Amino acid sequence: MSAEIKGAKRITMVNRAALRLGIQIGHSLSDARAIFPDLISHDADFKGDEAALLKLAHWFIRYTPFVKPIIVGAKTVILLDLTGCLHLWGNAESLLKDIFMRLEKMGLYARIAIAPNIGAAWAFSLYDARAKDGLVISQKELHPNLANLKIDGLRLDEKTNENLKTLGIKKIGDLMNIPVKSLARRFGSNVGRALNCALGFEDEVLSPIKEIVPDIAETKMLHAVLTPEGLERYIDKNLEKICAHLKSQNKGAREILLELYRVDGVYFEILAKSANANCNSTIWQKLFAEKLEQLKENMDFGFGIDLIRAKARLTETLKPIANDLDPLEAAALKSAEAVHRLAERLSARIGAKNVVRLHTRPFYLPEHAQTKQSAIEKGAVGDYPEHIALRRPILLLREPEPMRAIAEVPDGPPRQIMFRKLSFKIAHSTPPERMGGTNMRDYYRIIAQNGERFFVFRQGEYDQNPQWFVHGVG
Amino acid sequence: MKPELQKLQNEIEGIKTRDFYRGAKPSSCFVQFDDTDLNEILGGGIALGHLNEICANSYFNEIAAFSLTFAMCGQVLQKRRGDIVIVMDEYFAREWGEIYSIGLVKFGIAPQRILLITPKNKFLHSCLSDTLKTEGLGAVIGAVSRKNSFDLMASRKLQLSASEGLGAVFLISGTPIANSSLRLGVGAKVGESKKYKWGIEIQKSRFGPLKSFDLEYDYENHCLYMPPILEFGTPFSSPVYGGGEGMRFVG
Repeated sequence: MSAEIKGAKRITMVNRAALRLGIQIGHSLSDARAIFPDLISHDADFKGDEAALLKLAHWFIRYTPFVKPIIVGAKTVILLDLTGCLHLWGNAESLLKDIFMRLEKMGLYARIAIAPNIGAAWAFSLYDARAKDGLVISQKELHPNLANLKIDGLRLDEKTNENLKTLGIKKIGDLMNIPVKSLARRFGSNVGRALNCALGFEDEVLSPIKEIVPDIAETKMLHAVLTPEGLERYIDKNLEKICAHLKSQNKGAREILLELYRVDGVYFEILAKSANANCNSTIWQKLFAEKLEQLKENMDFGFGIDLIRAKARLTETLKPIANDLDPLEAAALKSAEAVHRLAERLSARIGAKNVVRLHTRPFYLPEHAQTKQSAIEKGAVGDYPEHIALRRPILLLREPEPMRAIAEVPDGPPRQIMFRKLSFKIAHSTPPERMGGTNMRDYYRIIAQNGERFFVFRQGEYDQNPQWFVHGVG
Repeated sequence: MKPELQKLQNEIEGIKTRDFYRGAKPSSCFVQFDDTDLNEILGGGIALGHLNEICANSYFNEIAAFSLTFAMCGQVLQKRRGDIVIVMDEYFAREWGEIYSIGLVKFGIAPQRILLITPKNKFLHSCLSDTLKTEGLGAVIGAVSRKNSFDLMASRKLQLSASEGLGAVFLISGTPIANSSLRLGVGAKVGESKKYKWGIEIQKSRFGPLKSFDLEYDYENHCLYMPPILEFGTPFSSPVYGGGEGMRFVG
């Protein structure tokens, strides 16, 4: 891969064959072609690389929720915080074996090191030759092994690395022998900090790429699933698991995120929302069935899906409902429940933005006085003065539509209008209602002689060539 | 088909079905309006679990069809618990804009009781069908344009869904559908002191006679009623459809 750097096309990434020929990152493309004339080079796609790395990082969430992808120059690194996760795989060696096996299936080459802290793992994975087969360093082995690594492993900037090398400090061990105070005085606080991080004297926290959810249920399949029908069965099972887990804690979820991991590293997410917190697996199964129905045509199963993980989000403690005491109250609850279920189902089918509640706000301009909010989200119910509501139309056009009008001057209501190529003589009109700040509007409700009702406004004063618009009907 | 012939055909259809259904359904299957004359003319009120169609008789009267539907819905919601679910197709939203909940307050419909569903055309039938099946709703309004008109089978499915949910169903349809129990043709009129007024023609009814009459809505008292008609007519209440049968004298 090559890209335009410092006025010349330079190599940004090479494969193993090119490396064997002596072509290195940073060479100009013409130099590389001088070494090997038949060299095939493509334009580098840095954004694409970032997206691919992020995708792969998401796939690694199968091992631990704390995952962070980093790109430093030509090096792409994914950091995993395996604290508390190793026992799930038996030991570190089995985990490494699993990762290598899966990455090899995807056609990816990786160097992996497991170390007691982030700084050391970084140094070992990038600068220890043993990392290509997988390297596990324990706390005891940390200091002697780290001392033999190059100074570049400390995550310092290039300039500091060069300065250190000029002074003959080429290995981390050389730096370890210098007193901390002298280090800070001569090279700044960064060097000492980087060394402390690598040695584990300073804590580093990995911020995860995704929200960590405590309520999780996962199903690992022995054989990868290749059809939507097969997947639906496992999804139902997984939802039963998560709902049972929530029920045991007397909790309900308003959102369940389903993560589907494909064997070749691709990762899908399906999110279903509920109007109220619940732990009823049948409801969630129906919602996901709707979602899957929409997605299955565009879903590429590749070589199959081998892991499903359900995450319950926005959980709430379920409150007991005494709905059998008052029959009227019970009927109201049943009705509200029916609307919730309908809204959830239809939101899953046609999208939450198409199933909405209408909320009013105390704004004068008609288009600002109403907002739409997804029916499955809880929203504040606003209030609107009733005497003004009586003067509003029942349908509000998406955009005010221009019309022609014959009106009394200077600011009388229209007597005749031409709207959508039809002429209407006006029988009744209300007094004007002035709204707006800089773009002042005078609104009128007018009734045509045949009974058609319009909500119109005039923008601008008589002497400013006013424009007439229809804003609503009915 | 000629309008006279169509009218005759509708009348025959009405006569054929009226006697079978009349009396067969208990009165609890209707939501009755406060105006007894209106109930009588509709054959008992708005039948629950049936498709009640409201058709505009011209392009601009689609607005009148909406206002009449909301007026009727407001009356129904005074008697029934639950929310009002509006399933509206793309055409109406594009042509006449969005439902403006603030404007519906005058019909006695609180904005927080409205659930608005705007599916794409391909999902319209399934969404409407699912909504009709849902029990416990206050009312369901379906706005289906001419482009999405339902054929015999689709409208039969809707009818079955409606009978499952037993809700008050209003369909504002561009093209008449086959399985409706009531079809009202609507035209706007100018009412007394700027009140809402509609000229209505019952084009099809399984429970009542086929008639033409006027309806007015008083939004100060939230009341839908048939305006009084004097023997020789008054300046504000002459029936547009020429129905002479509804002449009444009110003091």
